[in-house]
Amino acid sequence: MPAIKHSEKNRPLSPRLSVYRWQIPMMASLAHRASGMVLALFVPVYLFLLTGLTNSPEDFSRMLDWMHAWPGRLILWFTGVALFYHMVNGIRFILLDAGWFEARESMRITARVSMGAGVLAALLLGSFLW
Amino acid sequence: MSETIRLEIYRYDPEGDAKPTMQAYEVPVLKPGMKLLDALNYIKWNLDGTLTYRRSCAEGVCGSDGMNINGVNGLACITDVAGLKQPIRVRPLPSMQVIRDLVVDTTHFFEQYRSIKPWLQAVSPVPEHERLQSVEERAALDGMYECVLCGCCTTSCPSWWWNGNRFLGPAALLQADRWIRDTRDEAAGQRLDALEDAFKLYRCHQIMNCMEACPKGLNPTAAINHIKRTLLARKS
Amino acid sequence: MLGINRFGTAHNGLGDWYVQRLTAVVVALLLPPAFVLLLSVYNGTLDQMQLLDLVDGYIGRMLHTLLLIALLTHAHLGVKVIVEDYVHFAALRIPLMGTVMIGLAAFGIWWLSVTWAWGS
Repeated sequence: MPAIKHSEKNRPLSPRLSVYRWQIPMMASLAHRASGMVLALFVPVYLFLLTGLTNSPEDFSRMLDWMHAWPGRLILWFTGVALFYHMVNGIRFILLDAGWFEARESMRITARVSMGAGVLAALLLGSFLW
Repeated sequence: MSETIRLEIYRYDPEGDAKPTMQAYEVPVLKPGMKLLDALNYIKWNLDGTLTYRRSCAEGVCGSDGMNINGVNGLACITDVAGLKQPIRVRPLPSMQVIRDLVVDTTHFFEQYRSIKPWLQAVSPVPEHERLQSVEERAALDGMYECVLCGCCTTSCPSWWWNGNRFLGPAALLQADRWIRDTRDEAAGQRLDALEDAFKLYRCHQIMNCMEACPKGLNPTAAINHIKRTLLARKS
Repeated sequence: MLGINRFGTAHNGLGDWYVQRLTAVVVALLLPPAFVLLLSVYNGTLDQMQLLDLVDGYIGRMLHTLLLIALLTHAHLGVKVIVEDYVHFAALRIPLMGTVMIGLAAFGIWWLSVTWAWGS
């Protein structure tokens, strides 16, 4: 029956990411990954800043100007928030790995705590930088 | 009761050339505590006999009517229509080959289940009586033996979506942990050996969609973490 | 049956998983102080001399070295997991992971040379 063979080959894949409803723990996990990427990209920026700040006094003030200009501020804000979120959620992940908060409800609550901590960090750091 | 329930259901006909579409239906409220499966049955028996889906026991034990309901996987037979936002969007389990409408090809899923050798392995001679367990040893299997292999967890897992050919997925790993925890089983070492793999086991990144999806209230993420802890304890 | 288990088990993953968490603890202890230092410079709490007093000693250099080893290892394992998740073509995945590893090692060497050259 060639017709059926043909259709077996062409079976569609059922929709996944495009239809799956976002769950809080799913968001917490994706945010962990995204913030980790941001922090990995911050490594060269950190080196650039560290080199400048510990060099001649002129370099120091140039770095200070760079940090106070809006791109610098934005980068500091972004990485600061990423750092805080990644740390809080990282502690959550390690505690879960160790067998703490394993109940379904605790997993949900701790995901909310991580996300809330991230939002709080965004507000506090924002008010510090602006 | 003049109220109606609006549904949108994923349709795919393998005999036609058409792509999958969403088809709208309206179903009357049949009874208090009506389940989603009742609505699907009403469509099939009264409105459109071509609608195809799997169902058997209709009480959450056989695990055959797993589907994606308003974006989250669940069993249609134990999902209340009352709590669902309308139109209720019903799709097949995600990231699976669709055979027709809501029926998906589960071959790979069960192949992964078989790969963890889901049976008691023992070398010691069979005793006169049953292989006994203490009450505590038996209690360690609570939260694992209830699994009905509906596939809701595995097909909800993004890690399995992207690497389902290598990652065993939450259902198979929960079952693996069930046998690792079983004190009557004498192959826990080989079971752990077979799982220690960056893809088979460690693709789990604690996304926890499995836990959210499980219609039986189980927690595959916790089971996977337990396997990882056991592997670490064995090595250090 | 043979389909999914044809190549067996690689017996890796446990080491990466454990080192990822070990380095996470070191980074969690050392990176926030470094960031606070940066913010203190930003708002003028620390001038350059005070900053150098803090980082340009043996302890500052030791901690920085420890931080960069842990941070780059952690970053490497993290990026590796992401690449393994999304890049399914082995001939692309393997060179990509190698490039990431070498790139991060180069940053590490640069960072070390910056840290240990202070005051000379």
